[in-house]
Amino acid sequence: MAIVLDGSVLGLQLAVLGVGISLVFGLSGVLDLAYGAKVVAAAIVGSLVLAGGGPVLLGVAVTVGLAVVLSLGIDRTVLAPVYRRHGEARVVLSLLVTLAVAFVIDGVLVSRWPHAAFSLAVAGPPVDVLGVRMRGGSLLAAGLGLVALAATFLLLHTTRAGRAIRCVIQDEEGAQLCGIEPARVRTVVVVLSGALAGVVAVAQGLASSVAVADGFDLTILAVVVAVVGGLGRVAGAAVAGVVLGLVHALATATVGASATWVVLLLAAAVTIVLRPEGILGLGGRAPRRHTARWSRRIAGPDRTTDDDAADRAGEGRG
Amino acid sequence: MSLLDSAVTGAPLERREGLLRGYLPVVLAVLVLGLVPPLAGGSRYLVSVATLLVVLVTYGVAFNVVFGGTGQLLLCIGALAAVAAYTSALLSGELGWPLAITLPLGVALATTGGAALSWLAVRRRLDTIFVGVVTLTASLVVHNLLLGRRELTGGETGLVVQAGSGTALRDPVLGYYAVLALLAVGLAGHRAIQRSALGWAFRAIRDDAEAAALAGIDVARTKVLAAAVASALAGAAGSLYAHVEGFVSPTTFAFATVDVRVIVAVAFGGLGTLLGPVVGGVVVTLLDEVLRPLGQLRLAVYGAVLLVLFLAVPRGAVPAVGWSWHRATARWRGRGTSPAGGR
Amino acid sequence: MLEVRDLHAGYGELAVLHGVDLSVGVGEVVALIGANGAGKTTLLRCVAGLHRPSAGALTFDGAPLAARSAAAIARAGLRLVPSDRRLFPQLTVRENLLLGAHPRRVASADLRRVTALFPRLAERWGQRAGTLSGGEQQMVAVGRALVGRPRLLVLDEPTTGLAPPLAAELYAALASLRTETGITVLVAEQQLPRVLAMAERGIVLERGRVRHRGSSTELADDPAVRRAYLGVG
Ligand SMILES: Nc1ncnc2c1ncn2[C@@H]1O[C@H](COP(=O)(O)OP(=O)(O)OP(=O)(O)O)[C@@H](O)[C@H]1O
Ligand SMILES: [Mg+2]
Repeated sequence: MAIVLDGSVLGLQLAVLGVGISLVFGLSGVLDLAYGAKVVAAAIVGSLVLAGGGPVLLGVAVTVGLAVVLSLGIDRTVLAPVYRRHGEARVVLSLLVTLAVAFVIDGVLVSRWPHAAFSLAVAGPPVDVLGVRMRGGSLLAAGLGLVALAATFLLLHTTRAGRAIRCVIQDEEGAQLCGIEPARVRTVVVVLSGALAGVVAVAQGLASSVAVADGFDLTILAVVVAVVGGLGRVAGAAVAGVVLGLVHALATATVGASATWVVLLLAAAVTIVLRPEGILGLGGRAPRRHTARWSRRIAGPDRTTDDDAADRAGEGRG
Repeated sequence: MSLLDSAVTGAPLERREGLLRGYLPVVLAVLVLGLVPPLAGGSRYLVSVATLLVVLVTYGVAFNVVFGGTGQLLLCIGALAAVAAYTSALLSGELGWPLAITLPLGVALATTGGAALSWLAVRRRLDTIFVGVVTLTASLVVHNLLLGRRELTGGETGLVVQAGSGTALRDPVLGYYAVLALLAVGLAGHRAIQRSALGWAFRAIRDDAEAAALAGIDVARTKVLAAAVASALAGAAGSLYAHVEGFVSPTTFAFATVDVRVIVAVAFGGLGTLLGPVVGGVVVTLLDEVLRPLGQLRLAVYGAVLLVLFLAVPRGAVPAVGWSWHRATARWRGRGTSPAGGR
Repeated sequence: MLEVRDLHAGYGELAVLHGVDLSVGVGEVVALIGANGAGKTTLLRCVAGLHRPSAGALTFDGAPLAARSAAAIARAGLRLVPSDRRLFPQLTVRENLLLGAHPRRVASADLRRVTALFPRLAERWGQRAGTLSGGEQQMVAVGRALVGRPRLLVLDEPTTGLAPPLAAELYAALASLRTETGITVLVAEQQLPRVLAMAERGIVLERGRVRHRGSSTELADDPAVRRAYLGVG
């Protein structure tokens, strides 16, 4: 039971990370390698507010706000030339550009605040949950992750804006023909993804702490979770995050801390190899890139379009 | 097709251009790099920077063959180098086997590993990014194993490589020429591939794997072969470097140290071009050295410079130079045309 | 309603349209005829805002279209049904139709009209669009455009890939739509007899230039057109 609870706390954070990076990729084919750096930047600035004696809620608000502003700022400036390219050229250029952005953010953080760390201590005794004693901070972090995921799903599946997002993910041109403005949808998604990065920062701060050097690892985790979930599939990323969190907790309890990462990564690799279309398989209704533009690998479940059939016959695109 | 065009596009030269002209870029690049020790004026520091540069370029050639050639995003170049290096260092150090046996053994192990990953990806028809993430996890697994199996690998502190001490490899200058010789082999091999039928198969696969298969190309075999060649080269480079330096640690081969720099160098130089890794590797290394006095701010400035470079020449420096060259000469010849695909 | 003046367009260096003039009046059905590669799709994509012309003027209801996005043009009531349909493959037939009026809610009367027009769709209501047959997909695409209450419906080869009975069914539906609502239509088509039966006027495009224009009967009787597009005469 303790394993399940610990695993869920971590898993929910992984899920939020994965969903945040997967949403943007699904929409625009940009795999954001600066995602972890954004989380850390937001957290460090939040910690400065706290260190300056600011109230906790202000720190939280600044963290989430900064993550959103950073996301939007990067999207509007350095990514603009990336959006002018299409297909695999866009994917590859986006990797390089966001990697460079991550260097810039990390570099600034390391040189200005090398020892800063963001943590939100929660007072009070441990709480009993189903017979397991849990730290209040961990519980709050898990709750926050859950709320963020639920809010994302409600937005995507019950609102008009969410429907527009799912449409653009499936067929950008088709969406335009229906009167949906892809640029506006992108703004919504970028803001949402930024807010999720802020949520990860706050949740990490509650559960443990965020240090300056964590950006790279966070990005790698986010990418792994997103890919295990089936890149661009939001529900898949959420499930993948929770599952990997549970695997992590289970591994910690059985093989010890040092081998935990090996087990986790192997589990991720095996899942990807066995189910490249994502942990949920093809049955889910989650949005995913279906057109031939970049994920040509992903084929429809029953009847195939010409593109899909061609891809299945071939070896997948390089 | 001019020599430079061919170097730029990676297109095989036509037969009549002959052996000498075909390999001229390789010879020139190696000669220029060969001038470093005499010009360094006995500076050990400069030679060791240059050694690292040549090793980086060799990794770059390997990555270029497999990703630039067949579109397989193999993000475990560092890990493959580590496998070869640690195998050879440990077998020689612990069991006292001669280098002549352990070096090839390590390279063979790396080759098998890389080919196996590629085979898996081909079998499961993984898309570019999926291949990238699977190989990335593989390299993180290797890294964690190196850190974790402390009693064998020395963990974080690293491992002093006993084998090779006292040989010519440990002389800085001779060691430099040893890694340069390997790079020469790698570049010549890449050129040979470009000029051969295999090069056409690569180009066909990159363009459209399905059409390539319809044209009778064994796509799966070609991809695995490319991965095997690249892994062998990366393994040999890592292993040789370990014996030249006399010391290995997980950081020497970490994803952030090797693969990230390789990607940056190859992308900046020009993916798929013969000399792209050389140009990119030199620029990345120079950038590193020039920015060193900035101390902590180095990484940020480095990132900013890369950002500008990537956005300015998204296809890479070598093709960009090649195109301007082609355009200039075409205008000079009175034909204002741009090469196909130049837009 | 739609005015196209001296439109030039192309792809990179390649010029495809060389000064096309075209106008569609309220309530008209105009056929756009031309051989493969004549530039029909290019012209229609320019009209819908999906492709930027290199020169020329486009106005819809007197307002210039140049500065408007494809989405804005669609919301203004000019709806293109592209030849590759562009459905959302993972969404059901119903959801695809509901999206036609974005961001408005679709009136149930509009949905009923679509099912009356294409009764097959009612049977496929909950099926994913990606799994429909080509003809059914075409019906969804037309239906999706219709629920947006277009004032100008633009169709690019609506019968590509359809078996003759299905093509006939589609044109019958369009004709009944026409008599019921008096909708304005611009349709690119290779199947000359079929489209000329419905259209008042036709325009023949040849290598990016207007070669003939005239009433449907004139075009149907024109020996040059008959030779080129009907294979008779
Ligand atoms: N994306 C593109 N890039 C380059 N050239 C293009 C592109 N799309 C179309 N063309 C060229 O433009 C010309 C006109 O094409 P268009 O699709 O407009 O013809 P069409 O009249 O619709 O033909 P069809 O009846 O075959 O659909 C053709 O010569 C075609 O090769
Ligand atoms: Mg057409």
